[in-house]
Amino acid sequence: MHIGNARSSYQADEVMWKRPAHKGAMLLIILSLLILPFWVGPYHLMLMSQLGIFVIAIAGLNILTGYTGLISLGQGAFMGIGAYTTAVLATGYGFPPWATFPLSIIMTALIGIGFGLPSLRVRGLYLTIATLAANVIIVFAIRKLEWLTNGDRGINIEPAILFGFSIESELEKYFVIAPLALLFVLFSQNLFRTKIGRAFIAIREQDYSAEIMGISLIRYKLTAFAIGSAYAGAAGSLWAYFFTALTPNQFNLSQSILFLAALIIGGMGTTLGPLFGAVFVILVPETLRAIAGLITPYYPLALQATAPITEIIYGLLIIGFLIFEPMGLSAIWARIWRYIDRWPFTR
Amino acid sequence: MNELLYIVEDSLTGLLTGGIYALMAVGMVLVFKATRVVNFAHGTIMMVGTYFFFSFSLLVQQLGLSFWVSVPLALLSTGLLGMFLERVLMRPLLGQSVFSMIMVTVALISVLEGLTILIWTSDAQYPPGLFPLQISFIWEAAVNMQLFWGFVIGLSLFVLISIVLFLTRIGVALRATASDQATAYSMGINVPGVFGMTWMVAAMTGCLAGILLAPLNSLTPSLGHLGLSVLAVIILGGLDSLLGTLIAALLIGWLEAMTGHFLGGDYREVMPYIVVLLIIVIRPYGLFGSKEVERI
Amino acid sequence: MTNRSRRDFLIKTTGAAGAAALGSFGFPAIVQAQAKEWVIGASLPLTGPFATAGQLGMPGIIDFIAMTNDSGGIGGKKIRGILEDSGYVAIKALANFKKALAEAPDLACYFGDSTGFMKLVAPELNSRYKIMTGSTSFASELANPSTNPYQYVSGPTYQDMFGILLQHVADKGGKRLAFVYSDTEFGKDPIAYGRQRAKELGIELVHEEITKASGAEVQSHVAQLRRADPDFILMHGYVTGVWPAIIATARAFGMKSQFLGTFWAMEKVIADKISAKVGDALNGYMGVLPYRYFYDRKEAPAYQELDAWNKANNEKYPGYLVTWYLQVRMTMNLWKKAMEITIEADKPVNGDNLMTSLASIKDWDSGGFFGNPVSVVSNKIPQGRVYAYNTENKLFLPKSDWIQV
Repeated sequence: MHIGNARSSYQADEVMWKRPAHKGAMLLIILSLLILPFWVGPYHLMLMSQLGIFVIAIAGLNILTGYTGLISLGQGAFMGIGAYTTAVLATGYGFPPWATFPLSIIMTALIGIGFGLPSLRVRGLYLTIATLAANVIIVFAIRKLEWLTNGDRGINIEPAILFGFSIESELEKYFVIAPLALLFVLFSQNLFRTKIGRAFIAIREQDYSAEIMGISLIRYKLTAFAIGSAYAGAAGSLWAYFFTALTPNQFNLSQSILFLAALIIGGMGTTLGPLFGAVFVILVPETLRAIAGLITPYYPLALQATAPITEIIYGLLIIGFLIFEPMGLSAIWARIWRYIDRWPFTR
Repeated sequence: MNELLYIVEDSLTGLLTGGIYALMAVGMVLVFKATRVVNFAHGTIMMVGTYFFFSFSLLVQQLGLSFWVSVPLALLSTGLLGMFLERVLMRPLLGQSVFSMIMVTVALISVLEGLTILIWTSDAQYPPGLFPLQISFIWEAAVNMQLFWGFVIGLSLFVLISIVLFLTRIGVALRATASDQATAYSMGINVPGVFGMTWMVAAMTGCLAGILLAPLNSLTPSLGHLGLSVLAVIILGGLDSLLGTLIAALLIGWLEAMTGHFLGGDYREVMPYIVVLLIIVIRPYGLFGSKEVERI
Repeated sequence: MTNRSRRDFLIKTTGAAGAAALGSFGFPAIVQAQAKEWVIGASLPLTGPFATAGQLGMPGIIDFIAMTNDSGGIGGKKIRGILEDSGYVAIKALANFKKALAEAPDLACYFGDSTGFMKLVAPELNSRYKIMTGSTSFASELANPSTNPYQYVSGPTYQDMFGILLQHVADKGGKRLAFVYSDTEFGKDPIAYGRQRAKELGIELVHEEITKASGAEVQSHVAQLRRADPDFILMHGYVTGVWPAIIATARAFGMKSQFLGTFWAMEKVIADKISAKVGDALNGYMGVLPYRYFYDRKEAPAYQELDAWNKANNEKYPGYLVTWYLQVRMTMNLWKKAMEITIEADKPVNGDNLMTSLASIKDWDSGGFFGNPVSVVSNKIPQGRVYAYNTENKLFLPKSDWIQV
């Protein structure tokens, strides 16, 4: 039982910063996002940029799955659509980044709406598998449309040029991706203070009841798909400029599964869930590899064993979370805050 | 004239392949029926079962016995593995959202694959085939006897499982659990026991499918990925209908063969997914699935 | 298990380090001015679909480091390896690459795990990192100094292999040819070239069958092949799976076609395992290998050295090293050669100089890996030999002389 909720008005319930400390924490995070990159090396910068891209994609999935309850295993492929839209427009037609980025978002949102249509008829497991099928079909289409996408051979993209600067080094990429990631997360936080966001939550809780209350399921479910996919499109566009080379299999099912797993670990339906989840799926394999790296210099063939052991531990951690902390890392985070709030009246 | 013969031949092959799909899918359907969980790791369990078979076949060979002895041994150990997984991973999640249970099965894939690489390494292995690779002719159409026997085994297993489901106490318990867990509990049915049993039987069918599949492919830790391709079958069949799954399996097998025939081999793997998407849009609960009742 | 015991190698390394420290005085000044050790990085597919090749190939690079260090390193400096698993996922390999760079910014060489990685890394390699990069790939477009100036191929490309095989088909008077390849970038790489080359040679390409890279419905594919009734069937894009099953099934069908293959699908260990199961179906299976097989080491001092070293250091050494191991080793040997040329010329060790040195390799005695002295032409070594598998003595036996493409 969560006690200690002393809010007495709706305004108080929907304020963005529930505690002054939240504002402080936010400032601290932004500050560290500004300072940290100058302190870490290029490899960790790369990881942080990758983290930013993941956060955007997972935040989109969070809107779709966490808030609206439409479980999707297609986020990876939608990201692929965004990435390929950017790549084709940039290399084939010479579009600059400020054009490819929004166009990728629009394109992905439109295709997302198309693949969201089954959600009007089915939900739960069936929808999950419909999106899974969508993922396979989209990746297959990207591979087969060779005249457009160059098929399995992949596309190379020139670095993005913004305000006359060529975005090439890890640091430059980071300073493009990190603010965008922050922006997209803030947007999703804000979305759930609006009518649309609340409609999403109502649909998640019980879609028939929501419809009876006057929420148009067609409109809002498709809107959820559009927004969720738009996030994927944004992530994909950044992905294209970040990796500068695309092949279709970067976006296959395992990418979608990774995103969904990250969201669950982070905590579905919470603002910080995507961030926690992305940190988890990037940092944990990294940490495991670092531990393995302590052995391999002395005993190189140990790598043959450490690689599968890393896989095992990764899988076990996910299972452990699902069994022992099903609400994800956000729940732990919330518990910490509750503890601080009620101190000294906490056990 | 030849073209017609070719279509018949390919159709036959497709239908026979469908029999093996049915065998791969039946375990997933059973688990879904009892627990409402789609076991994404079913293919991986199948792969591990095949490795059991491979190891036992080496062992019995050393003891001078026929490799047929290793089949029941492999089935038994895979069954125990299934039961163990249910007890350790699924049981604690009872009452949680079905969704977390599904994600556990997804995570299980990396755990089992990693363990397999540690134990057996990832070298490709070629376990003995239960049936020799041999081609027979039905009229003019060539038939691979390995596929044929796989089909026969798959079909008989379906009949066997249906008999058990509809005529035995265990079957009644499973069906009762499937239709209403709470009531089943209150009627004194050992629901967790049913779950464990289902996982065991499902794992055993998976192992059998793997043993039949391995001679057609090589045995590597990624054999399990084939399991994902039968998702289309179980969706088309309606997830919880045995008869539906059988028909869907044959249909998908045949459709894949026809795709290969008319469009080329590269379109085969995407075909089932297109079917799934269409089915979900047109007939969401599959061919024979029971429509879920919504209570508001 | 593939794990092997190498603890004693550590002790030797430390001993050799002392010797090397003394020896280093004799080397050109510029080498001594650079780093204390050479760092090479590698991504290998130790998990995932091609794990078999990755796991068996990895000792190739580890042994290379140990053996080179045993004999005093390169230019008097030791080699240190940063090895990682990629799971055959290109972006993981790219992350590994950047991680290695973060650890050692003056990385002397990188070994990639796939064509996918090589393409992914190429843009940044060209514009920023400029590191000599070899890989498991023989993809044709990697052997192009103008677009991929820092990448090299340790043998002929897949196109070259196709060229050799198609020439063989033409010489044998083959009229009807079929391609079977996996629906991957690896599988499709030489196909367009193969079509064109077959046309030039006047061979009719009667069928193309595209399959999954693993777990393919072999039966259906073979049925299609049987109808096309080719004299020769050229397979490409497989490692351990599919190709043996296709041959075995085709033989069961009574097909008499000659099967041809390329490097990754020509491992004796796999052919032996298959033959133990299906009898002599694989008899006569033919393909191009850039190198000698390891059992053919009479005229190959480098192989004898490998053999002796493994006997001394590896308890579980079965007396045979797989072709995948040899491929990894050859890739490293080429880098070593390029290093030696660069150091000899007293030039700083960097990607540009190394690649220039690599390109300058002429009539080099590879110690028997290749049958004839080899030269690097557009970042590849266009030499190979046709072998055919013989089920009686379980060997791939040469069917041609060493062919220069």
